[in-house]
Formats: sequence, structure tokens, C-alpha cells
Amino acid sequence: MSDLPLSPSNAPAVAAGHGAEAAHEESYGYERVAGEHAHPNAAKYVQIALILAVLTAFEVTVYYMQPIHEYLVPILLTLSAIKFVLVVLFYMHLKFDSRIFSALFTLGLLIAGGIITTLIIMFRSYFFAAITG
Amino acid sequence: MAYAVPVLAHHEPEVTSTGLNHRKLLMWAFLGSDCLFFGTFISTYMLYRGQSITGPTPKEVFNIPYTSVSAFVLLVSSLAMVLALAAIQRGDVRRMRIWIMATALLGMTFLGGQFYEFTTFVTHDHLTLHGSIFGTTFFVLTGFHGAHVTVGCIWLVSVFVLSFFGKIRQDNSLDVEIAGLYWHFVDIVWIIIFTLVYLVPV
Repeated sequence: MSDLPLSPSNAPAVAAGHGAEAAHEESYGYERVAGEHAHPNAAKYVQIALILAVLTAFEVTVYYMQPIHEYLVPILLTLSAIKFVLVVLFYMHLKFDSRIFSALFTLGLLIAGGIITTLIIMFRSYFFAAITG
Repeated sequence: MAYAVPVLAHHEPEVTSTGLNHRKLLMWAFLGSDCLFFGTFISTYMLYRGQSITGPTPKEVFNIPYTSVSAFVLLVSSLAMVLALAAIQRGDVRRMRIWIMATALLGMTFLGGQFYEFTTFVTHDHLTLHGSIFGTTFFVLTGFHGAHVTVGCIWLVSVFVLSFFGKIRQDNSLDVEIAGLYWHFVDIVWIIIFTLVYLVPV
């Protein structure tokens, strides 16, 4: 699909210069916006779900494993981050959609992360102490 | 004074200055702001964890295997949601109905589990909203997440009902996609809550 944003000013150019692509787009049967690529198929969605299920099972298993309890927090945070990213990229389609959507979401996420981190550092919570040892 | 209002034909793609559908853009902006909403509750919980002067403690009340099943149910509901979207994008309204109702039912199962968990905490463990700082921060955070799941379930059931009136079609599958974005957001918030609240030790 064209990376050229569809706007009132360049819509004719998009239509004229990318006729073949436009015809290809019609085969999807639903409205797709500029910068959006084809979404994954059902098989890919099931694959992602299996990975998420395995990661969740691993999280719970790690929770009960005493020998690696020292590394429990970083392991859990990493697994959680991987699950988060997988859902956002594939189920919420940020991997395939316009980067403006990614920017909007990331901005909120960064501010939220900044608030959490700053408050935890400021108040010296036990959680921060657990990470840093 | 009269203004000329541009009217788009029913199936004509919307033309915007960014080239992006404004409803989808609005949903992403909302989800970005909702990160701040949950960010404040999560940070409050993290700040006060382990600081309660009265019991019970998280370790005494949490039932990890039970909550793991709840997390798994919500995870499967996300799969059902994307399969509903894939179905409507193929023009398969019947399968979309099946998957969207499966998503709503899984969401309701999660809510039922949360209701049971809350009830057990209050009646058996005497953990209440105002009894300790742990109770307050825990119930506010997970309660607001539950409220989001409830809104999501109502939304999904609405989509299911509207599909019988011809309102949900292949050409406006964006309606399902936007509902899906909200639902997946609820799922990723639970991914964080499950790890930080239930699994990370105090």
C-alpha cells in the first residue's frame, strides 16, 4: 500500500499514481486507511495466542521456582513486556497501521511510565529496592 | 448564515487531513490517555505495597493458580476478538457473531471470577476497601480494570445485537476493529496488573 497519506490535496495523486494498488485494496472488501498494511490471517493470530499462553504459563512457573527467586522480578517484568508488545503489535495491529497511531499510544505510555518510575524513585518504594537489590 | 456541509456517500471512504480515520485516531488518543489513568493507580499501588500496618498481606490472600486462570481467560478472549475482526473483514458476519459473543462471554467469565475473588477477600480474608492501604490500592486498581471490562462486554454485546440489524458489515468493519482496540487494551492492562500486583513479591 502507498505510504503517501490520503488527504484532500493529494487524493487525486494517490488515485492516479497507484491505480493498481487501489484495485488491490478493493479486494480486501473493507476500508483501509493510508499507511495501513494487510492484517495477519487467523493462523497468525492463533500462533500469537499460543506464544502468549506459553509465556503466561512460564510466568506462573517461574513464580514457584525457588532457585531463581533472586531473579524473579526482572524475569517477570521481561515476560510481561514481551506479552504486552505482542498484543499491541499483532492484535492491535500497530505493526501494520500508521505510525501516527503508534506515536499517540507510545506518548501516553511513556508519560505513564515516567509517572510510575518518578514516583517510585521519589518515594523509595520496596518495589524499587527489590529491583536494585 | 448557512454553511455548506460536505456529505459523503454511504460507502465512500472518509477523506481527512491526516489520511487516517478520525474515529480510529480518537480511539488511539483515548487509549494513550487511559495509560495515564491506569498508570496513576498502578504507581499508587506500587508505592504503598508492603506498607500496610494491618493485615491481611497480599501473600495471605492471593490465589495465584486461580488468578492465572482468569488471566488465561482474558488472553483467550483477545484471540476471539481478533478472529471476530478477521471474520467481518472477510465478510463472514455469522462467524463474526460467534467470535464476538465468545469474546463477551469470556469477558463475563473474567468478571465473574473477579467478583468471586473480591467476595472471598472481603468475607473470608477481611480485606476491605477501607481496612488497609493494601485493600484500598488493590480494590481501586483492579476494580477500575473490572469496570473497563464491563464496558467492553456491553460494547461487544451491542455489536453482536447490531449485526442482526445489518449495522455491522464488511465495509464498516472498522466498528468491530475499534471495539477490538478497546478490548485488547483491557487485556494488556491485565497483563501488567497480573505481573506487578499478583506475581512480583512484596
